[in-house]
Amino acid sequence: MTRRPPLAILVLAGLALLLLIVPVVGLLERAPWSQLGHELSEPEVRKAIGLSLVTSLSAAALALLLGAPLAWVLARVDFRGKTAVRALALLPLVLPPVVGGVALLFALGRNGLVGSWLAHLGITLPFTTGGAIVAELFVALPFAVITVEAGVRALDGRLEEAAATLGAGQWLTLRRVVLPALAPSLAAAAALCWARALGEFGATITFAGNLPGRTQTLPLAVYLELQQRPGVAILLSLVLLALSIAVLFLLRGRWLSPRRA
Amino acid sequence: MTLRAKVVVRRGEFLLEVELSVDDGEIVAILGPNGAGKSTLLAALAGLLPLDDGLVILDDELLEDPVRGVRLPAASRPVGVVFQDGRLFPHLSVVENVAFGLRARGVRRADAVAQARASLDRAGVGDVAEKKPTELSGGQAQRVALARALALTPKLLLLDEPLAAVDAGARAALRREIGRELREVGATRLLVTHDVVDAMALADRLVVMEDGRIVQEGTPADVRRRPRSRFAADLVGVNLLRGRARQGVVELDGGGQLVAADAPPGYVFAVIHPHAVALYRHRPEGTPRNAWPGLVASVELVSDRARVQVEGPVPLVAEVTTAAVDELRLTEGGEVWATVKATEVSVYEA
Amino acid sequence: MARLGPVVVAVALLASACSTGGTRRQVTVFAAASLGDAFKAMAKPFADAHDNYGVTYNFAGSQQLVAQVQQGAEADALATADQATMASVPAKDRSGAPAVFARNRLVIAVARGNPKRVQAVGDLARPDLKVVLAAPAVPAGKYANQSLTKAGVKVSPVSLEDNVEAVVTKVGLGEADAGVAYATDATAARNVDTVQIPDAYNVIAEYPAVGLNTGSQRAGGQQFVDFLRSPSGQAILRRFGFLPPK
Repeated sequence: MTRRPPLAILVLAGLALLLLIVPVVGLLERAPWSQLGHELSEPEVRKAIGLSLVTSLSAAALALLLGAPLAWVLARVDFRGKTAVRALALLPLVLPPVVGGVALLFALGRNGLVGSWLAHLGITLPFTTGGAIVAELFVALPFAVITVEAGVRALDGRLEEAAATLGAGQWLTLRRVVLPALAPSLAAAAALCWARALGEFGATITFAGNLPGRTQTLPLAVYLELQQRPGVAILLSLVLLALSIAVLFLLRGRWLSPRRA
Repeated sequence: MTLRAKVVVRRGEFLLEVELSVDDGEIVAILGPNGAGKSTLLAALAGLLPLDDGLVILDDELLEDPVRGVRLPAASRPVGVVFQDGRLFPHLSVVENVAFGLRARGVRRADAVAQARASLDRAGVGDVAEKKPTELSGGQAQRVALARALALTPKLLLLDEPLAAVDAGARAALRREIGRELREVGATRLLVTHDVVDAMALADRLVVMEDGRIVQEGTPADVRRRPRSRFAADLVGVNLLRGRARQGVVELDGGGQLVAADAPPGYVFAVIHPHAVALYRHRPEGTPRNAWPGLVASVELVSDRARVQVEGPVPLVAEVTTAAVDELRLTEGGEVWATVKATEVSVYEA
Repeated sequence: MARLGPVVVAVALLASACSTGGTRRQVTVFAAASLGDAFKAMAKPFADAHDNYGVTYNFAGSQQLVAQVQQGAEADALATADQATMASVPAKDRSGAPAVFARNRLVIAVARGNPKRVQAVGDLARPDLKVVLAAPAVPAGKYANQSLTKAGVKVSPVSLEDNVEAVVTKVGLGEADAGVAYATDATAARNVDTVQIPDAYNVIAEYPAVGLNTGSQRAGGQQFVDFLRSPSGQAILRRFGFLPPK
C-alpha cells in the first residue's frame, strides 16, 4: 500500500518528528565530546551508570514477575471490584512520582505500615539500593500490567481449548502454549518497564534517597550535576539516550502489534 | 466404542436439548443451519462446555453426569477434536504439534516424535513434518490437525466443520482423504457440518438439528428422499410443505390446499421438486387441481435454467427454462400462477 | 442579532481594560526554597502596601533558579540562599546590585522528643544514626559541609537530598534520625525539634535579593526587593526564624 497520506497528516507527523528530534540534536551538539572519555571514567559517573543498570533491570524483572500474573487475573477472572483493582494497578501512572515516593515511605519506611514489620526482621529499604529498586518497580509496574493484559486478551483461548483436548493440564498449557504466544507482549512489557525504571527520578530520590554508589542512579546524577557541571550532565543524558535507543531497538516491529503466527 | 449422550445446555435464551447415540463403527454427521447448536454440542461432548443436565457415557465410561456431580475435564477425556480452524500451535513445528498430546501424557520425547511421524505418514502429510503451521496450505493444516488428534488414539473423534476453512479447489480432494482416514480409524466418529455434500460423502448416518433440537435422523438417502425440515429440504433443493392430510387432500399450514396422489392421513410433509412446478401468467384451465396465485420474489439464472421463487399462500420454488422466463415475462413483483400435478407431489407422515 | 455585535465588543474591551488597568499586575519572584513560607506570608502585606501588584512565586533550589534565569526565564526579582549563586546571575539580567536582606543559621533537626539523644554536632558521626544532608550542589548542603569541617566531624550521610526541605521532611517522617538544615526549615516543620550548632562551627547563610529585568514588571520587582528590607518585611522574616542582615 503505497498511497501517499493526506498532506495534513504528513505535516503534523513532521512536526511530531521535529519535536522529538530537535532536543536530541541539541544534546548532541552541546555535548563536550572531547571530555567523553574522561568523564565516563570518573568514578561517580561509572557508579551511577552501573547502579542504574542494576536497579532498572531488577525492577523490570520484578515488574514482569508481579505484573504478568496480575494482568492474567484481570483479563481472565471475573470478580467484584475488578474495576477498582485495575484502577489501583494504574495508580502509579497518575501519581506524581514524588508523591509516590512519599507513599512508599508511609508504607515501607521505618515507621511505615509494613515497613515497621520489615524493620523488625532487619530489612530496611529507604536509603538502600533495594529501596531504589522498589521505587523503580512501583512506577514500572503499571506498564507491565497494561501491556500483558492486552496480550492475554488477544489470546482468544482457542489454542488453550485445543491443548485441553490433547490432554494438557493447566500448567502444561501455560508453559507450552500460553507463554510462547505471549512472548511478544512480555518482551514489549519488559522493554517498557526497563525504560520507565531507568528514567525514574522523583520516587527514587524521595524513597531511597541520593547517595553515590548506593542510590544515586543516572537520572539523579544528571539532575544534580546539571547545577555544577553542565557538560557532564549532558554527557550523562546522552548515556541515558543511548540506553533508551537500545530499548527502542529491542522493541522494533513490536511496538503496536505483537507478531502473530 | 459407543457413545450415549443426552446433552442439555442453556446459553442465555438458547436451549440445546439433544439425545444422541453413535455406535461402534458409525460415522455420524450432524447437519444444521448456523445457530442450530452443532458446535455447542461438540464442545459439550469434548468437555469444553459443562452440561446443565444430561449424561455422557463413552464406551461404558461415565464422562459427565451433572446430577451426580461427575464431570471429567476435557484433558481427561479420551476424546479427540479437529477444529474448524485447525488450531495448530503456531510456535511449534508440525511434528512437535502432533507430538504435543503424547508429551502431555508423559511419553518420552524420542518416542513421541516417532509416533507423531507415523501419524503424519498415515495422514499422508509426512513430508511437511519439519514445517511450521503458517507454511501449510489449508488442506495440509487440516490433515495435520487430524493426525494430531489421532496420534492419541481417542475413543471418540469429533470433527467441527473440518472442510469449512479449505478453499473450493482443494475441498474435493481433502474430502476424499478425510473420508479414507475416517474409515480407517477405530474410533467412534462424529462430525459436524453444514455442507450437505460433506455429510453425504462422509457419513453413515445423518442427524439434522435446528434450534437446539434434533429434527431428523436417518441415512443420507432417507434424508434426501424425505426431508423433515426446511433446512434439509433446502439442502436437497426441494420444496417442503406441511399440513394435515385427509382423503388425499392436504390442508396446508400456511393456508391453501394441496391435492396429492396418495397421502397418509394425519400430519404430513409434502415434497415438490422445483422442476415439477409449472408457471403461468393467468389461472390455467384444464386438469391441475393444484393451482395457486403468487408474486415473483426473485428470478435466479443458473446456466440454462432459472429458479423462480414465488411468494404467496403457498410459497414455492419453481425451476423453468430461461425461454419460459422470457415468454412469461417474469419479473420481480410480477403476478404469476403456480401449478403442480397431484402425481408429482410426494407426501409422507411428519 | 446584529445589535449584539457592538455589545460584545464593548464587553470585551471592558474586560481587557479591567485586567490591565484596574486590577493587579503580577510580579514574578524567583526565590530559594527555604524562603517559601516567609515569602508566601509576605504576599498579602506587599499587595496591600503596593496595591497594583500581586506576587507570583517560583520556589526552587537556588542553583536551579539561576539556571532558569540564564536560560531566559522571565522574572522580576530573585532571592537566593547564598551569595555565590547570586553572583552567577549575568549582570545584564540584574537591575541593580544584590543586597542581603536576611540571614539564616544551621541547626540539627531531630525527631520530636529527640529519641536518639543527639546533643552536639559531634554526635552526627555516631554509626547508629542515619543522617541526611542536602547535596553539596545545594547551598544548604555546602554550608553544612563547611560547618562539619569546622567542627572536625566526619559524617557518613545516608542520603544527599536535592533540596533542604526534603532533609527536614525525612527527619520528620522518622526515616532519618538527624539532618542539618536551616533554622527556618526546622521551625516550620512539625514533628521536628532542633539542636543548636554553636556559632564557632556555624555557617551563617546570607540571603541576597535583587531585581531582575527579564520579566515584565521591572518596577514591581524592585519594589518587592525594597519591601524585603522594610520594617514590615523584616518583621515577617523574623517570625519565620530568619536573622536580620548585619
